[in-house]
Amino acid sequence: MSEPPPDPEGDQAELVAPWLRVVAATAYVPRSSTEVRGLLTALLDRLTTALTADPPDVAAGLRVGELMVEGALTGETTLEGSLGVLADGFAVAGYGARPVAALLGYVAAGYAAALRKRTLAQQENMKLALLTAKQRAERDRRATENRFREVFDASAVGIAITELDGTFVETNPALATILGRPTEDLRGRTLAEFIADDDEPPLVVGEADRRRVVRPGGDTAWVYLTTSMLRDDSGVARYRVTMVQDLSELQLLGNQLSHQSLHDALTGLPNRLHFESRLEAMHAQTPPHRPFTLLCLDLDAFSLVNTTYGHATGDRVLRTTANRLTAAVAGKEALVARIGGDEFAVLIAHDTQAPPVSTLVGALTAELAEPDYDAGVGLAVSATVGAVRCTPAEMTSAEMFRAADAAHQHARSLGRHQWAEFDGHADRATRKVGTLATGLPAAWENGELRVAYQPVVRLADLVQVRVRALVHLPTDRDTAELAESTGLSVPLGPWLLTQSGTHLDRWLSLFGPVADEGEAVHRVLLSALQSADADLSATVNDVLSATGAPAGSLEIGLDTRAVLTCRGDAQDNLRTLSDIGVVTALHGFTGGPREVAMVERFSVRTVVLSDPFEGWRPDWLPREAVPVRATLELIAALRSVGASVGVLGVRDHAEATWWAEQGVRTAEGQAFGRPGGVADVTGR
Amino acid sequence: MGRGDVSVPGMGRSDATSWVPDGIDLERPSAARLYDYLLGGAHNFAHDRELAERFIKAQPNAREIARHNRSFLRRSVLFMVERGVRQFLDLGSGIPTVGNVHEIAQTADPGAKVVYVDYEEVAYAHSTLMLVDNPLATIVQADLTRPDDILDAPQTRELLDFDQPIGLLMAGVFHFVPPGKDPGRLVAHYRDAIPVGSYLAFSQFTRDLMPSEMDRIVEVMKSSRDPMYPRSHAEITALFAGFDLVEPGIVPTAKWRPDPGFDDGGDPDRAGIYAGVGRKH
Ligand SMILES: C[S@@+](CC[C@H](N)C(=O)[O-])C[C@H]1O[C@@H](n2cnc3c(N)ncnc32)[C@H](O)[C@@H]1O
Repeated sequence: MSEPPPDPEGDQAELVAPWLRVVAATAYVPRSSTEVRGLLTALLDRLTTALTADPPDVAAGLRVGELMVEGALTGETTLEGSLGVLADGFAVAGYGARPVAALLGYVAAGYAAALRKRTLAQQENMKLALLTAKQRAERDRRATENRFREVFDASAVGIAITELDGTFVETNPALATILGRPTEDLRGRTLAEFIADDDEPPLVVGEADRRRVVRPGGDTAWVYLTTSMLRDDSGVARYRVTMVQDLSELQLLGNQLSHQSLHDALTGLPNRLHFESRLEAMHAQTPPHRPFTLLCLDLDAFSLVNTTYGHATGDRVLRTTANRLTAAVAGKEALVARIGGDEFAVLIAHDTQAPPVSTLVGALTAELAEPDYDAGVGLAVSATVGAVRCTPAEMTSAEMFRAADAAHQHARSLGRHQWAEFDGHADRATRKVGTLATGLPAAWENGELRVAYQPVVRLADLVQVRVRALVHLPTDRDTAELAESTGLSVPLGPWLLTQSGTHLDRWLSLFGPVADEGEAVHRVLLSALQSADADLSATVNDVLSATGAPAGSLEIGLDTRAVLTCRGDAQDNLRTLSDIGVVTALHGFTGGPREVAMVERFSVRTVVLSDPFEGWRPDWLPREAVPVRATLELIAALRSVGASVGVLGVRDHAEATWWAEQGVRTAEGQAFGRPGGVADVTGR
Repeated sequence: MGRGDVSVPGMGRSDATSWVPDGIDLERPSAARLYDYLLGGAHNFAHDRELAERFIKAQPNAREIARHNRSFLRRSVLFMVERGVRQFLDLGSGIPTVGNVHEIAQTADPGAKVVYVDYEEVAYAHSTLMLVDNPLATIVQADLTRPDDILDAPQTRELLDFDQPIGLLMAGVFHFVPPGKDPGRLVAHYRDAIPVGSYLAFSQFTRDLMPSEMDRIVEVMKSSRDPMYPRSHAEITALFAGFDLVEPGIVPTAKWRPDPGFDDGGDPDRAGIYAGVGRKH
């Protein structure tokens, strides 16, 4: 029994302070001093209650030891120090030495057991964590392995993993095919055994080398060999990997075809399909808050370039544009693609800081405006640009593409050489910057423009039945002025009509006898702005009354898009021209249902298709190709509503025959002669 | 094929029974596991404990130093929480034994967010396991000397709002960054990514306090995966460019706003590590 009257209150205050000092000096406890003091006071409570009980409840020490561990009072010497302080304190307070010793013994035991449990739990935990990490790594490795397997097995390129001495360790099916032997026959052998000219110098690691391999019958095949080393973590070479590429023509053709299906043949840029999938991939791989800029642009007055200088020049402009766009984004994480006839897309992934969209657009258009010289002709192009700036978190890749397209449409509606940025907040495109440059070219002012005539033939018998009048720009002109000429437009329409009108009687007498009843002999195709010109029908009236020729001898083609989008007076013009008896036509026709409906509604007489195969030869395309089927259906639809169909850009007679067989009535193109003067046509 | 051989995918390997991931080299002790041991944790292997014993021999005060550093980390987090910071980027977070930043911050405000960063596998594996059910805390396994890997990591971008103040924590880690990595530029890179009003808490070993012990530590740590580079008061001050140091400036860990009567014991100059907190201006 304890003799002295214990004074729990006084003992406590006196004991907590030194205990706290011990704890603070030996253990890291992630709590404030007040909290730790509270914990110690509570523990001390338990201890004194145990000591004052009769008989003393020494086993209560076990729980106190456990609570010390739970409270992180677990520094190297915390227990030792704590027991010392407590023993001294209890002695001073007058508790019996035996119960105190027993109680503190239980504290130590409880502490030790809890600490062991905690250590085991932590190690168990670590084991679990590492095991999970291991399994994840294992899973990743298996996935990599499977992917590797797939590539290895499916590759058209032969792959051999060999020992350093060349003995095969593993070979893929393609290699067996190239060597003309089953995989089993390759086991244990070396690649060198299958190389024909073994006196050649050995393969250099990392360099492609052309060699011949011997097949079982003794014949040989050319292959490309590329070898590299597989090294271990310390950099020691363990195996050799050799890629064997079959150079036979079939193989090459296959590669080329897959390249062609993804790339535009003219510019070598990714095509629309490819671009969309690359955009999607880049979008998915980019951190959600990294900004992208997507620009969609088309070339202003590109049809003017084409009709004025011919397709070869047009093609050159497209190639130059492709090169310049590519050069303009060189060094950036960017992608340039040709997504339509004269439409391009530029995708730029920025670092955290992206320059203003206006700066990017300005840089690109400045690059394009630089004249391009060829055979004395200097051509500069301007572009109309739609832009969207956003992060992957803000829009999906498809939304981005749509937004850029919407901005582009908007810019286009503002006229040429404009740009617009997609305004996500208002959810509509808004114009950000005004016209950069337009102007009447000096050529026009200097009276240097000429009218040229392009033959139009009736495909049924390849007889020339019409001419198309177009503006011919002299080629020996100052290029800066010529650059301007691509901006030339509205006033050129009336000028062309009036100038060419003076030859109308000539064409009537030349083609009148061969042309069919009610067919025009003179064609003019107007640009979008020209089609929308409010003065158009007045000009046509003037021309007709000046020449006295029947209205039906004139065929005037309006821009389909201008009519479709009710641009300016385009629809009125179409109606009025038809009313006064002019043969109305639509060109730039792409075949959308609204376009077809418009043909019927306005009783359009001729529809000139807009290059439905984007420069591809239709006669070389498979008949079941979707664009071919769609075009044939379009032709049938147009004919069913009474329109005759014309095409441009026919290259030769084979192509002409193909179009003729599809029911197309008229054609132009290099197959039937290039644009020339009146004498060129009459003398032909 | 044994360990260390090249792994050719699909060619099979024979060590699939071990539960230690291949990335963990048990032979080479790591700072993360050494620190865990010094703080009384059990997330370490025999080689780490051996290193720790040599470390303690070189610097008998090692446990106290670790404790003071961890305690500084806790006080600096609470300091920032008091000043309205609710998101933390903890670079070199270590193995969570006790007093982790998310526990400290989320006790103060359950909405606090924490992105831990450590390049050590055990630290990463363990934090991942611990944080599975905590949507407001995550870990990125990355090297802090490649800031873009961390700042652009999807976890970071998802959790942290870079328009709101961020508490950038670099406690007990910068002495692992060699002078060749351009420490000034490195800190500046992080600083430029966070908005004005953000805070930096920084602590690292110095030779200014207890130079001979420090030299011995540097020697000991050469054999680990994480050799150490102490820095002087002036060098550390320079790293705070763009930040206004809060009181009491750069001082031994135990002297940085200590909790009276608790972690101010002992001789503060034996803390071995300088610490400071700054506010981006
Ligand atoms: C001493 S611990 C500090 C832990 C915690 N910050 C603290 O102060 O209590 C240092 C941690 O930094 C990690 N570390 C060292 N260098 C690193 C680097 N370059 N990148 C990421 N982590 C690093 C180590 O793996 C270790 O876990």
